[in-house]
Amino acid sequence: MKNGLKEINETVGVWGSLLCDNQGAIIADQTPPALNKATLENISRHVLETFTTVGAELAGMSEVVLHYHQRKLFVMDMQQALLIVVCTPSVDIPLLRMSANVVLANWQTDPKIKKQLEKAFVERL
Amino acid sequence: MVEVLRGNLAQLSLLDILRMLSSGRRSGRLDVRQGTKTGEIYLQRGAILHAVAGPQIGESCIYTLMGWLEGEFSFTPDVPAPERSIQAPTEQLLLEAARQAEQWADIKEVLSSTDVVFNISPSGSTSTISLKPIEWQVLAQVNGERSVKEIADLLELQEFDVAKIFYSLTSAGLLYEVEGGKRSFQEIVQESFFEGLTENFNEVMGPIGPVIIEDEIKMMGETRDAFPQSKAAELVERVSLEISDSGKRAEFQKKMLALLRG
Repeated sequence: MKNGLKEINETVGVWGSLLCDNQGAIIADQTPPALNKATLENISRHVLETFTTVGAELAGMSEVVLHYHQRKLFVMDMQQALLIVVCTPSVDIPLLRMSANVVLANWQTDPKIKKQLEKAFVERL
Repeated sequence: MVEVLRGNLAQLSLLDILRMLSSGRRSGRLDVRQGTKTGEIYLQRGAILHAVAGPQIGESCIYTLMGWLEGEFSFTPDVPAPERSIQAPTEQLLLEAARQAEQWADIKEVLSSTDVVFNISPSGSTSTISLKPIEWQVLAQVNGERSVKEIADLLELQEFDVAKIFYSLTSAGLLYEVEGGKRSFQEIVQESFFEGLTENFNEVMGPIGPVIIEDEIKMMGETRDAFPQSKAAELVERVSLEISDSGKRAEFQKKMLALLRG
């Protein structure tokens, strides 16, 4: 799983990436030391809340980009978990999206990762 | 501050965005960006109350922003309007905007983007032409270097009005588009990128592949011989959406990622 996140991190402009479960707990992360566990969980909860609120209005939404003054958060909904990528504002979103798609497609065919995700699955609040 | 709606004007027009926000009775600020230029439109329960873009403010500003065919937008909900500069009913504004959008569709046949550069045709027109003062002012600024957008800025006119003039002057044979124009200042993708894209895409899609690629390039308002590097990933993503098998799509994207990353 970490290798997949590392692959996503190779995209220019990506700071780090993480996977959180449907209640905001971190499943895996590849992030710089500046982003400690408390910060990551904070980000996850915030993203989850936004995703749930917006998702309720826009049915079928599977991706969202959140913009902050100096950072951009790219989020993909995998149903069992959320993939969160922390980027600089200038990141090439189509390139990042493709990179994430490729990794997610690999995960879907990897029995070990599928099992890990199933194990981590919790209902979304 | 969190934004919940964001996208590209080339994919979703400002008119469509405003229609959506208006019918959804949304409140907040819609930010529009085109290069270094920015504009703001404020809505309250679906009604457009205020718009500002540089020195321009109010209703005319909406029409100027409608002329931005490329760029980015983002909507931040629940940001109140600092003032009210638009009194006209929103339905009326959107109707006028729709009328202008139809005209833009005609203009775009000649003018793919307001970044395009024109020069004065050495052969000129074959018939007698009378020019209005404003048309003469625009024509006097055409030098084979300034883009339509730059001329609009220089004359402090709306891009839509200037684009209309370029449309009529070009149709009359007075102007011609300078190949490459602005693009010479941007990084252009290498031909090897298109070779790789075509080869990988053809493997999945067969002989229809090159047709789809050309269509997407056209829809992005670009040409193959002056395609900007900054849009290469977007093009790959757009064509990959034509691959219905998700496994094959991921495989294609993987190959293209390797190519894009060099």
